[in-house]
Amino acid sequence: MDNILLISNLILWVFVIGLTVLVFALTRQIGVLYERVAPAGALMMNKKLETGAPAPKVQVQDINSGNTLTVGETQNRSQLLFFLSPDCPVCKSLLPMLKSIKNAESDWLDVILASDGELQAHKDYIEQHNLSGDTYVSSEILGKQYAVSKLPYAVLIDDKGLIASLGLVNSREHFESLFESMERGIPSLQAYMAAASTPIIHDPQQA
Amino acid sequence: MLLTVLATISTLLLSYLFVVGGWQKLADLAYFQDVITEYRILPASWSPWLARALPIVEIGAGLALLVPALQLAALATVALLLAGYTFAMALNITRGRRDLDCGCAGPGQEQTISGWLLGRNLVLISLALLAVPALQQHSLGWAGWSLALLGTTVLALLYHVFNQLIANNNLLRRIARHG
Repeated sequence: MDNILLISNLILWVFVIGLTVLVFALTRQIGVLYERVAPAGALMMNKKLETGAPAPKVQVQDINSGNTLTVGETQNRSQLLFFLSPDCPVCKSLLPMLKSIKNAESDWLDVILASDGELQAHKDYIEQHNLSGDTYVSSEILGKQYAVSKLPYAVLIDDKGLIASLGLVNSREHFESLFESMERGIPSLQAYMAAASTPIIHDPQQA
Repeated sequence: MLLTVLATISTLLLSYLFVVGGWQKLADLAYFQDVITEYRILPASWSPWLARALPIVEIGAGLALLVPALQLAALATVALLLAGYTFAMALNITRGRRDLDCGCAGPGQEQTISGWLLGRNLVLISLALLAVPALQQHSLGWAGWSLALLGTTVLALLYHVFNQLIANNNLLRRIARHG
């Protein structure tokens, strides 16, 4: 009997230590998870434009309808400029999302697809991706005025013609962050995280 | 017997915590120096000196806990150090500076000062004090020593779990503020 108790005790010790190791590993993983799920946002990297500043007004022509319109002149509606290129795979993957944004927010938002380069390439692209119902403009000046250096890039202009938010967008979260920052009046996720980072002293490696 | 085993567990645990904690502070002196300055209790010019002295005292006390002849003095030192840290944290909490980095471990741990840390330190202080009367009453046989070692291992692991949970809590609060 004594022997049984001794053996059972030993086994239990091994189990208890094993379980505490396991609990520690789990809490570590939860910590890592919390760090990872910190919100993703569109990277703002534009030296020319600032949020809150008036959007540059550029006259462009819609390839689909042939109408001319002025980017930056919003007439009580907001504009979402999406800069893309026919040979940018990420842009392609975002098109369905843009369509759903366009449909869902049509009462206050105009979505404008913008690119530059050869007209025929754009016409093929429109056909391929069924974009004939969208506003699609091709203008080199537009890209220059909005200082677009990397694609896909998006600029949200509010109903007063001011730049609400802008940035490199690669995913749904990035698009959401553009609308979010317009609602909250915070220029970018970087600005938000800089203001929210908690400890007064933090890891120099993370800084 | 039981009391002696428990006292040995407290002593071994405190020894482990202080040696490891002191080592982590020595490993990143510049960081620890900033932490001491940020506590804004002692003149900033003392920080470089304290940043070197405190970890050495911690490691010294941690090692002394293992030497029977020095145990009492070591326990007193440990309790005093902990009381000092607890006071410094409590003072800054009453100042409303809750997002101050506690500096308890290395720079990797995002642990800000909080009531939880005060509670943790109070538990450690009581461990140090409880160990005193039970010391050297019995000599432990091999069975007693194995029990003490196993118990210490579990408690040390639980201590790390507790710290991780506090750090997680801070991370979670930061995410929650987005919502």
